[in-house]
Amino acid sequence: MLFNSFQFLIFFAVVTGSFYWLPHRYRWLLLLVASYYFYMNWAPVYALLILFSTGLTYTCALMLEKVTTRRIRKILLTISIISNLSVLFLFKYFNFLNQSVYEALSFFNIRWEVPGFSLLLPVGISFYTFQAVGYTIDVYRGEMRAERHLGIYALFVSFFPQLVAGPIERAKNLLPQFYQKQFFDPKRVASGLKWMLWGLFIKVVVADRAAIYVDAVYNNVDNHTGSSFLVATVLFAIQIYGDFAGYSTIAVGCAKVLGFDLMTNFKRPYFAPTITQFWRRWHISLSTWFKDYLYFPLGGSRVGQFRSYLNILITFLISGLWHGAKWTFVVWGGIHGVLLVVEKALGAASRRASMFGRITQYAVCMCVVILSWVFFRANSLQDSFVIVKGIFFNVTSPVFQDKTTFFYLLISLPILVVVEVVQEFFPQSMVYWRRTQAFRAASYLYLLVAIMLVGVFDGGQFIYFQF
Amino acid sequence: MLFLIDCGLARVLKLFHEGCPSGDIREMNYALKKSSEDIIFIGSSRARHHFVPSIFEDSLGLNSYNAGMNGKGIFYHYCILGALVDRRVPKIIVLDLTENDLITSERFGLATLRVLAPHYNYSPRIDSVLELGGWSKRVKLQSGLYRFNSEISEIISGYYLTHESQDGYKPLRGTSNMQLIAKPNEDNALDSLKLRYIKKFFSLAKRKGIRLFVTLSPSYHVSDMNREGFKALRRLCDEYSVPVFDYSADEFFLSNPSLFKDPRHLNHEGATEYSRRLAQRIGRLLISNEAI
Repeated sequence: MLFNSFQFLIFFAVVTGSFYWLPHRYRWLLLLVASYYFYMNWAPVYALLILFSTGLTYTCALMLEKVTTRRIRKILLTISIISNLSVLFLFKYFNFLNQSVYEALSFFNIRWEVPGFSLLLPVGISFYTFQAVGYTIDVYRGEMRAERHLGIYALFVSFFPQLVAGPIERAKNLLPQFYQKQFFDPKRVASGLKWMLWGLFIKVVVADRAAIYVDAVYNNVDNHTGSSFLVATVLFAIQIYGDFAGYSTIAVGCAKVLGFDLMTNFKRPYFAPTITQFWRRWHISLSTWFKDYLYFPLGGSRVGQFRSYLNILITFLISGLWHGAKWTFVVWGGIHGVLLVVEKALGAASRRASMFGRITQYAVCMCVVILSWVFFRANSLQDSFVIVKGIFFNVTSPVFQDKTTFFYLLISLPILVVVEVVQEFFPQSMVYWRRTQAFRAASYLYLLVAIMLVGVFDGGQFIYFQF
Repeated sequence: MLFLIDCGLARVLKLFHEGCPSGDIREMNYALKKSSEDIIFIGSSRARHHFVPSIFEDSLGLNSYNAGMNGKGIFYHYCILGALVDRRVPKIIVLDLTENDLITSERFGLATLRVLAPHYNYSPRIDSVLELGGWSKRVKLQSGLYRFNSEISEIISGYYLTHESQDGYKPLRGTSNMQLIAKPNEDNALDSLKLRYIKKFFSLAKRKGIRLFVTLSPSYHVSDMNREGFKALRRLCDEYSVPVFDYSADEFFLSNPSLFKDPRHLNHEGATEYSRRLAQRIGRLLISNEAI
């Protein structure tokens, strides 16, 4: 059940209505049932995996609180982490590792084939696994108490607005909210619906429209040239932002309607002046998760300079791999890791620049980020090298023209750009917009009409569902 | 208020849509609501770029119209036929089919019917096909604005750009360097819904007394005619006694690459030659009434 489907609209309306009608003590149960129903719409059997993750981490956390022996606590934590990550590994990485080892051994003429699995990747497994593991680590560190209510904890792991594509919530933030009594607040509900509307606009009107061109070029690399690669890469940067930020915005909006606050996952990342800043604005829930649960345990920047750089590289290589079981994602992660190391080494992230310097910084950062997306989107490493080569050495070739897509992007993309620019550089002017009711009403109406007239329906999946 | 805006804007768009002077929308509207020619050509881009109506008119003495539409499959073709028979039954229909009309594929699927959404509530047959997407589709189609989803660019294009068209036929000019290669085998299974609609098409044409001919247009690659799609098509044509003119592996066209614009489409010279040959065969059939 996708957020941009009619079925979800009906589902959400029913859940919201029932939520506010039910007494507070039964609401967690409604949300839990609704969340599992939402998830089982993809593949019912995979709900067993969430149940497994829920049961394991719930039990481990309770035991972590009871046990005081450090060695046993460490064993419990290890069991929780390894068991959860093993499931993730099996479904997501086994075939990739198997294939990679086979190809590596074949290079030395060693034929050792292990049969692979034909398993469909459970939607959202990377997200809820990380969420559950994060909770166990927080309890181990003593940063929070273990949740005793199994139902509430199960709801935390499976909460439908953020179950399949984030944001990856921290237990400290979300769990307490399930205990708070939510009252129907028309202003908050309206605010949530507006978030959902905006998220839907940037997803189905902007991202899915850009995807048509991107898919036509990236899925047919042999028949396109440098200029088309360049246009497609820029459009992919728009597509992935619109897709992912759109989903997160809808998720936040859904939760807000129900009275819950999820973390902001995107903060206008393409306006970041440095790669360091980019990662403080892009997929914030994931980057902070890796920072807190991988980078810091590795030593973070508290170790020697070389070791610190290595920690950054390791973190980003694994982050790349988290995004998908392909070498292209690893390379993408590696590129960002290297860039971060370079920035750290040069002190670029903290240096204050002149106006011209800042503009240059923004431009360079944006170009670098956009170019790195080649590896994220390309179907293979070979394709990615062809595309990069084309962009740098054949950019004057005629561009593949899809006039329809360009036309619709021309009437929708400027809206996204204007909103982002205003929010980033002229936030005070938002006050005028908030005060002028007619302007606000016209804006929402425009978004609704644009979604109906220009939105891509019947097939627009969210990119991050593949994770 | 949302309802008023939805209805109001949809009415305005409908006016522009129906008055579109050229382009795909104009051709589709004409085929659905105005065409009264004796011979109608129906099919995808291969029909649109391959059948020259004037040649058939000269050869057979019957006026004709090319209702082919790029990227459309049997669901669309059935809607065109349904709208035609509700107004004036044509004497002959030439239906150009490809393998994509029979196998499971995103090509020629239900999503391509989006262009017919502005005509929702025009004809029960069209509505029944549009509603194949399920109950949610039916609900979405109640919105006037939704029916015009992704149509604005076509409407504007129809008013501001010139589209060459000769009674629906759209000639392709030029040729490109091509190598004769074997078309890769796609092991897609037969699509039961597409097959059902081919049967419905044949059945409707037969009921209305229309002389129906199926064509497999020339293409510049070697096709494996033993694939399931082609076999299923032949079985259906035999079942409904529909003559099939199979030019997909015709030696003349395979040895004349200059007649092709690209491996799947003839250029104007190729379309002229193809139409001439086809018109002769249809003429002979009409005269002799013999089965092929």
